[in-house]
Amino acid sequence: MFKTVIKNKKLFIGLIMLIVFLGLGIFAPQITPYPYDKAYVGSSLKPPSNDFWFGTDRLGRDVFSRVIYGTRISLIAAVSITSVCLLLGIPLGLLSGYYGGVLDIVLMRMVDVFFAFPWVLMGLLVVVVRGQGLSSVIIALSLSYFPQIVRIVRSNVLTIKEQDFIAAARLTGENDFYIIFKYILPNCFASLIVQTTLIMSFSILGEAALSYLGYGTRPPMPSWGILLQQATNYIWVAGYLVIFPGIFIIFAVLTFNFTGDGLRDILDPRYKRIYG
Amino acid sequence: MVKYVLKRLGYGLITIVAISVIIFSVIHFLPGDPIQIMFGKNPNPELIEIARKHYGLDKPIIVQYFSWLNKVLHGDLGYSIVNNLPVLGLVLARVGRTMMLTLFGIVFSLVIALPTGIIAAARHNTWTDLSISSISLVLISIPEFWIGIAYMMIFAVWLAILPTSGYVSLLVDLNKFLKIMILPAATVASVQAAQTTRMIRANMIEVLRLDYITLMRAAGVRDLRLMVVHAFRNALIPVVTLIGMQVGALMAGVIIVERVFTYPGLGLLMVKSLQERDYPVVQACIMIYAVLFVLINIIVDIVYCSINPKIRY
Repeated sequence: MFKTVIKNKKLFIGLIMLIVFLGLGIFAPQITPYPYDKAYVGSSLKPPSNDFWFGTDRLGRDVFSRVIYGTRISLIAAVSITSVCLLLGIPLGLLSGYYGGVLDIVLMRMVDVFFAFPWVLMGLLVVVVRGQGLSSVIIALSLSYFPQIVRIVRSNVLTIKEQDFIAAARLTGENDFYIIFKYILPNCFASLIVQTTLIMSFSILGEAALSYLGYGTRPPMPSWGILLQQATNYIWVAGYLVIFPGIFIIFAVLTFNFTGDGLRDILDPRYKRIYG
Repeated sequence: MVKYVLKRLGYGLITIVAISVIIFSVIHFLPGDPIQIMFGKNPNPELIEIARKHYGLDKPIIVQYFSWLNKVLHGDLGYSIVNNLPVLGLVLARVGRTMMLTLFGIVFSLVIALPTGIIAAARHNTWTDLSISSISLVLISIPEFWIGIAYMMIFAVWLAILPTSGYVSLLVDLNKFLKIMILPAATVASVQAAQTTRMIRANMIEVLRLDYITLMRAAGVRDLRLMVVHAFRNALIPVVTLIGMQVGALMAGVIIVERVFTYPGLGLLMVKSLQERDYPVVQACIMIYAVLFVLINIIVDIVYCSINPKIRY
């Protein structure tokens, strides 16, 4: 196991980045030199220096501390969205794939609507109902991304349930519930893990974008999207405000893209042959 | 074929009805009773009753839904709360601009993605391939709005050759219009191109392994012709599916890009109206996006079916 991970460079890099990302998010209070919401009078819009590594914003707040706290918001969003997707998607996918028939048709039609509906519009609808906030973003993006899990699980179940060992289990008189959880679900894990890392990266992008539009966390809580939105007002005088949050977003997304690609190479050899 | 098209249109209609129900109920169950708000702090119960009757709010919700739908179908989308203009006019003025930006973006992205995808596949496992795939992997990891801001910094702030925002109709000043469109369209195109390149590359590699390609190569068909005419056509089918699946993501991207460049399209109107709590406008925008979305999907499906007769079900 350990050897496979080391040999796959993408996965190895991805996992190291993941550790850094998790570390930054979890230990944000220990890492940051200043509180994220403390304004220092007289240091408005200062470029990066020894005191303020990433410079300061218009109110004189330390951008480095704000970006690090943003990691935390991003992490919370990614983990919550992915968990909701799995909780919603796995049971629906199992039901739809295992029982088929009318249930499958109805469920998949509904899932298709969610799958296709643009996620920004979903964000907007949820914000109309619930108002701005991180929880609204989490709800909207979960609704947009859970169909991916349903589809993956369903297509896995469709092939697995035709195999001999399932027929054998049925013949020995096992009930459906037992067959689904004991024999079918474990065989879906490989593709589920890959899809989960992808949803993590979509979630980070989505949270940043919705916050950028002003639907995410409320100020003064920093999110990378909000930092960038505020930064766009000062691109003429303080370009550094744009650079650092952007680099962090790319870092976070690449973390999960590398990990996902690496895992896919290991778990799905056919894919590796094609995408190399 | 006709049967297929009709079936797709039928599904599309059902989807639109479903979405209209969702939008209606979202607006209906919003906190705050409009009649209470209308009469202020000291309402007269009798007047409230009359007003409720007048606006049809005393009828069952299903009846209310159908009367709302009836109005919508007759082009009556209500009035903007902010400036009291009819919503239909506000919205229609913007649809064309958004479509124009989207179209520019798609064309731009195809111009980049088709050659790079094919070249990467033709030079599979070489440095060319490696750099094209790495660049596209990095590009799909960058949020659109950051690419947009970065372009703005480079071309508008540092080089000062393009404007950061604004809008001029192409009928008024074509030159200025094109200058304004370049950055937003390039932003839309960047992410799109990266995804399409990856897809084309993967499919081309699959197709190039097939026996008929080997046979043609043996028969002496020239490489360029082999790639462009014979292999590409088969690799195109999944690409059309991908483009169809990306319509939603593309729309989302365009909404954000409009916000970045304050490009006065439908997306910007929607985002601004939500900030101002101008719900009739938000409602109309979402509805129009939904209809456009379903229509584009139907068109993609029909195109898909006409290039791949196997799928006609």
